[in-house]
Amino acid sequence: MTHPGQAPAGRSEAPEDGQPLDDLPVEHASGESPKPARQGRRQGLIIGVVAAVVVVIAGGIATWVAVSGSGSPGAGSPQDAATHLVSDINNNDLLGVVNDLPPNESALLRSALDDASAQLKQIKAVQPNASSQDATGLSIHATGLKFDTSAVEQVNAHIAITKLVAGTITFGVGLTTNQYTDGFLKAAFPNGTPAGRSTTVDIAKVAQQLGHPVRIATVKDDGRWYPSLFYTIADSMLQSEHKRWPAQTIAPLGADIPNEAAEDWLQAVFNADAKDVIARTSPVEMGALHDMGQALIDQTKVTDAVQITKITFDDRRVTGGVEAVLRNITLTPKNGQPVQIVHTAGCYVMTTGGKQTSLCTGGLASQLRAGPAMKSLPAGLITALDDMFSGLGQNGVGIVTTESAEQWYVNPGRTITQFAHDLEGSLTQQDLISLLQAH
Amino acid sequence: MTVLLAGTFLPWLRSGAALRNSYQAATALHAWVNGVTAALLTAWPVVITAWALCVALYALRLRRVAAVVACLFGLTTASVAVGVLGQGGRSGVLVSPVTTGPAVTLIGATLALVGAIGVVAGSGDRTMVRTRGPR
Repeated sequence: MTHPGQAPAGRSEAPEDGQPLDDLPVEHASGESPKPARQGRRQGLIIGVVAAVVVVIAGGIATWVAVSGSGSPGAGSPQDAATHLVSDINNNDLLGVVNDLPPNESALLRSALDDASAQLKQIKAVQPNASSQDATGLSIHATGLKFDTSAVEQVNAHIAITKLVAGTITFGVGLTTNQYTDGFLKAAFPNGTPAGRSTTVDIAKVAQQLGHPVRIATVKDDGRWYPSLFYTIADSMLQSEHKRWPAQTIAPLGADIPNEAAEDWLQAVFNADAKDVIARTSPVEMGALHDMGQALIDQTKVTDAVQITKITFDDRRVTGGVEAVLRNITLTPKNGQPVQIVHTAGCYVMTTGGKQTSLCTGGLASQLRAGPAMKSLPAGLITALDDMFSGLGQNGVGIVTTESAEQWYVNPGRTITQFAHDLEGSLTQQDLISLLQAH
Repeated sequence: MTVLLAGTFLPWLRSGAALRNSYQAATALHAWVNGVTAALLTAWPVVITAWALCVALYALRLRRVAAVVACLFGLTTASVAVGVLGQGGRSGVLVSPVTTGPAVTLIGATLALVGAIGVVAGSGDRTMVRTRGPR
């Protein structure tokens, strides 16, 4: 039984989470709730549900707007892809330009920028919080770029060439002073930081010299079109040779493990077998090479002059793949004595016909100083070169391989960036200062 | 909460002359990072879902639940905004955070937190008064 003013039975405790007391039914002495209160509650609940549904729909629309307008990579057509690139160049938007490229090229460029930035931070040349883009001091700016929208050339289902006819592009390299450490700037430039350098390219003049518009190749990847650096270079090579894109691509030829991929590729190189060399490169990052390859192989002649009779590698995990670092190799020429090269303790030792020649990078400085042509070089520069090659000698020279569809391929792009990374990794801040001052 | 959400649509990142809101910045930077940061950038649009959830719960009069979600939501977004503001809007560099978006988001997150704490504290007091009653 409840007394007037007393909380009804079962109400002496706090309501469940989220259920406000105002909303709880108030039981009267008669045991019945008044109708107007119940109706009001029901009305409030309906309004609340409607409001909640409206908010959920608004949230969905806002999410769609945010996600769809967030600049997802790629474009719906070759022209849009090129226009997007031009817009980002016009805005000097390096982040956008890198992200405009096909995912494989973009990843390669990012990894190169990140490696260079990390190395500059390690030797305390740039501030720890400097971005990769700023640490490397790159800039790009364009004005008035125009495409011939009526002249997109569809090479095949996944390659299209857009044609740039007017405008200027300025490429710059310079030190953004607030990104570098004071110590580095004072040591490197005691007379003040030099102004950056830039080069401006007038598209109309270039087109006039070439006799045709500047061609920018776009490539279709996973249903989206991207302006491609590699395909543009490949297209330019074909143009300069007055050749067309081949109808057939070179099928990729992978290996089960990284070492095997590196060995097969090296053997193809010694055989001068261009088709095999291309086939064994990564079809993902070297897609342009596979696509244009048939046009190149017509010019080459395969030989079997040198055989790899023994080869061993040390595997090293690197950004994006595995580097097969050469430990030793024995080459047997068709008409000659075998040549053995062994990597040991910072030296590459070559043995042929009982004679040994050592290339010990640690002693490079003294060898350079002894050379008459090198005497004019500053001592700091020789030390910098010695440090760079010492690092290579210690780490060894390798070939970077990457995996695609459970097969391993040689990756020339990543091999070059890894080589540059190894060279940079051996530099000290003083070495960098010596190189900049010599420049 | 709406101020907070509006802040996420204001500029957060500048690259050259291009300004990006928090969602565009998350997409653009996603490829440059990995691990936990990449996962957080992927999940960033959940901010809008969390906003919608809070408002919907409040409309359904589940105010204490809405307040708890708002607290979590406010703390998370405030942390991100403070982290970005801590990087500072550097001039003379190619890619740099912009303070407008994070500052507005931080103000919104602070208001959301204060409001959420107020709702929880207010409902607690009323519970005490109602449950005591005359004996």
